[in-house]
Amino acid sequence: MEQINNVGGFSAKKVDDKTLILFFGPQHPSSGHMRIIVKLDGDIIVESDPDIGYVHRTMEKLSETKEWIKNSVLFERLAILDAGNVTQAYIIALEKLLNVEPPPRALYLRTILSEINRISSHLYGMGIFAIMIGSSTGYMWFFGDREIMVQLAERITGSRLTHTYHIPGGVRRDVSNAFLEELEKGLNYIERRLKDYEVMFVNNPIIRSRLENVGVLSRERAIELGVTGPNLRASGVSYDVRVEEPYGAYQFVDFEVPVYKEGDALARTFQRFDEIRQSISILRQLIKSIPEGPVLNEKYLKLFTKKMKDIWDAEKRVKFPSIFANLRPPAGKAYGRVEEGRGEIFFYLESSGEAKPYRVRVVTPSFRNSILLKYLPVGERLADLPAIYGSIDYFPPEADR
Amino acid sequence: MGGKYVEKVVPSRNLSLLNKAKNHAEALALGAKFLVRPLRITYRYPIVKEIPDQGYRGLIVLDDNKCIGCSLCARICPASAMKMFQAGEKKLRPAVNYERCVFCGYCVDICPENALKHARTHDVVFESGESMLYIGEKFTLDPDTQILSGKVRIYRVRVDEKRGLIYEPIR
Amino acid sequence: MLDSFILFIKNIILWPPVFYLLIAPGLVTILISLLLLIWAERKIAGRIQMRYGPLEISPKIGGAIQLVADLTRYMLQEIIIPRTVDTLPYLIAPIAGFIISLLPVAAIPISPIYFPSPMTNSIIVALALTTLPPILNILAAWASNNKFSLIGGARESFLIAAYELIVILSAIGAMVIYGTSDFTEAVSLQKNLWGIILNPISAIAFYVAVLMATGRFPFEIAEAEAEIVMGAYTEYSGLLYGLSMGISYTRMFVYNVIFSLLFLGGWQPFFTIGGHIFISYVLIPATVVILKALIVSLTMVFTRAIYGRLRIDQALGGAWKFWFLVAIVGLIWGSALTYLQQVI
Repeated sequence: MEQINNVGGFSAKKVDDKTLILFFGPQHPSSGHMRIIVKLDGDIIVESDPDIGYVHRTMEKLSETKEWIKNSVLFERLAILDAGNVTQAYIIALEKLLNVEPPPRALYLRTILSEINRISSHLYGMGIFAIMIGSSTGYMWFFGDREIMVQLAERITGSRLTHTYHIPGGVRRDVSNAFLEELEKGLNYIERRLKDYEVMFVNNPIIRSRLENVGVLSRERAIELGVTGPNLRASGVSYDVRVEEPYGAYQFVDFEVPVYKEGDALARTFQRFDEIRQSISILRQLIKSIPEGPVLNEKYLKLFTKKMKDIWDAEKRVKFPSIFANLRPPAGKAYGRVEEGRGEIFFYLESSGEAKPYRVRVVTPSFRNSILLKYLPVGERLADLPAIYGSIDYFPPEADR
Repeated sequence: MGGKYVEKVVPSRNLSLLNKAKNHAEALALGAKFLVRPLRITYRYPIVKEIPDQGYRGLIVLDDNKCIGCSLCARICPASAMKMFQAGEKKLRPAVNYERCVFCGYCVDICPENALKHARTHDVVFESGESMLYIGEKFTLDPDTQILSGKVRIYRVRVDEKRGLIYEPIR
Repeated sequence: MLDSFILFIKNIILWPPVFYLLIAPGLVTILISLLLLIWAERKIAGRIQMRYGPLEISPKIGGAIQLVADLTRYMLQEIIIPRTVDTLPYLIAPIAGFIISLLPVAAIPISPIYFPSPMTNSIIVALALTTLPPILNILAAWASNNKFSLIGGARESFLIAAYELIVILSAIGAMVIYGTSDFTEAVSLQKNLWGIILNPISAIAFYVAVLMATGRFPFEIAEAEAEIVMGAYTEYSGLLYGLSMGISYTRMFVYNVIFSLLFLGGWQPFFTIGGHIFISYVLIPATVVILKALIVSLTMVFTRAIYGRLRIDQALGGAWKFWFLVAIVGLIWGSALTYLQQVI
């Protein structure tokens, strides 16, 4: 392509007559907060250029202006549908700086919230995927049943999406046995519904024909592009932070991490369904084996006044010791990583001993997966672009930070 | 203990024509089943109201008698929604601006005298920016009493094994 | 004076061409069935999809007049005409498309003795008229001067090539059995045995081709929202958009009237009430035909809640490699039946 002329200061480029440049987003029913500039030869995509950054909120810089504990509230806005996992990664890193360990019951509660979040995040992703390939029933079903998981998360934390559940050294609330029974009911329901999803969604011949051999990501390509999460595992790479570097209560439960070889949209769909099944199994084991005890580290429990202890005994709600408003971790560096619904989230914190972080760096799974939108659609048809977009479960606000 | 990787293969790729017909029939039958016996999860919001359980992080209410004006709530507020105001001589009281509030509940949890609490109300419509500032006496009124005394039917949500969510009438 | 005026009006309304185009199965019937169909589509989808569907307007009758409210809104909405469009064809396309999609009813009888134009080849004329509206869809796509519209128009033109042949071949598959190309005669021959039992293969092919022709799921390819926004009608707003939405439903209803005449016995079972000529020969048969067409249309809108959307190459491949052959088999089946009948 050569530059042919200048029109009013803008340079115009001559485009090959056969090529159609399509601006897919940011105001498009299925683009999300991003734009994909697609070059089409007939119906075939010859070039795809994802243009991200429409919801960039300067989170890393902004966090340098806020106290340590306030940043947990900020970062859960990275991925509002998976907030528990995001804050967990931040708090794990912060705990390393502060050198505190959560007690066992807090670890279990964190993992319960993580897995509830994972199920709801996968259902959200599948719902968006379903409407992108035209299955409105899939969309409504996945979103409707996600509501059960959201309700359960609300029972634990008091908030539907922005849980803010994790604090350094533990969690903010304990759960009752009534909640655990309710969780078991919800899990039974989701498990039964998974069969319906299979009949209506994945085994539906129309949906299946849209997924088979679409957006094939080979093992080598996946490693080369640094993809993460279910997309990576659907391409045959065995990598999951829950196995590689167990956090929370994952070392106390038995679970499988499914790894599919094919790497197409169908394999990614099956990958997510299998992970929901595993999450259900993990949650069941956690319900059975959850230990009794405090949910906050001794170091902070010692600071509790009589009034705070009374509230803990009555309502099972942790009152913050006033030191939380002014945490000053010793100078140092720490990282925290967590397997989120869409992949591995990585926090790097650097403290200079002040009340505010010196530097926070976040690497989010959606950012690492966004590169797929450049390579996977090439050679596919235009109609496959939403299918690929949906199948990689891309979430723009998380990528843009 | 711990996780392990399990290699899997997508079952039944390239379905035969017969299997496709079977899957079509199954999907249509499932649709017909739900058409006859719908599994509804939505409720008619403005006419019927769902009120969350105790422990829900709704609007914040101040108990003026308990407050000692220590300013911890204003210091921990991540969104700078809570600020301290002079309420008489040597008397500081918090006020909350719902334009900024993110309902994280840090203020409620850090209050050493338990003077702040969450109401269960979460769906309030504000007519102007000024009305979003809860200061003085307005901050001490419990919005729950208003909702519970209204004319709408109040339900609470329960997770159910068969129907997912069920709505139980409170009154 | 007044009596003669009323008689004059009555005669005009009951004059077959006017009655057919305006009352049944024309404009009034189609508008009412559109109302019913779109409401039913949303209600069916709502029941399957764990929700209520329209309920806010008139909750006592299940939100049945929601579409009236929607239409009112469309009428009051400003029609925005983008600066870059080709204005005249842009305006003509949805209006003419709606009217032309009604046109086949001029050749479709809904009563054994009362019809607008006595034709011996009314099936062929009706089928020919149903092929016209897509041209205006393509015109709208071209006039809109929008890339998404253009792609939608291109997709529509690919689809026409695929479904038109199947519709016509499977209609011939039925016509061969009746040995006539006249609706009235074809229906009277179905007195004992409906066409769908005589030639189920052609009936299925016709049904699927109608799904494809009218953009029902899984063939909602030319208007695929997640891919090309709204296809050819991306640039439309207000009443023009409302009309363009109505085109596919109107076409579906008209196709299904043809389907019920060809395969579902038309106005059979036919009976008369002594002394009431108008009721016996117009109202009852018309109601029977329209009810049959509505039931078939309901099964078609039901697919929205089951399926996703096929890709254009899959739809075309399915049409040419499978349903075209099915239509041919149906044609052979029909011919074989006729041959056997003559031999035996």
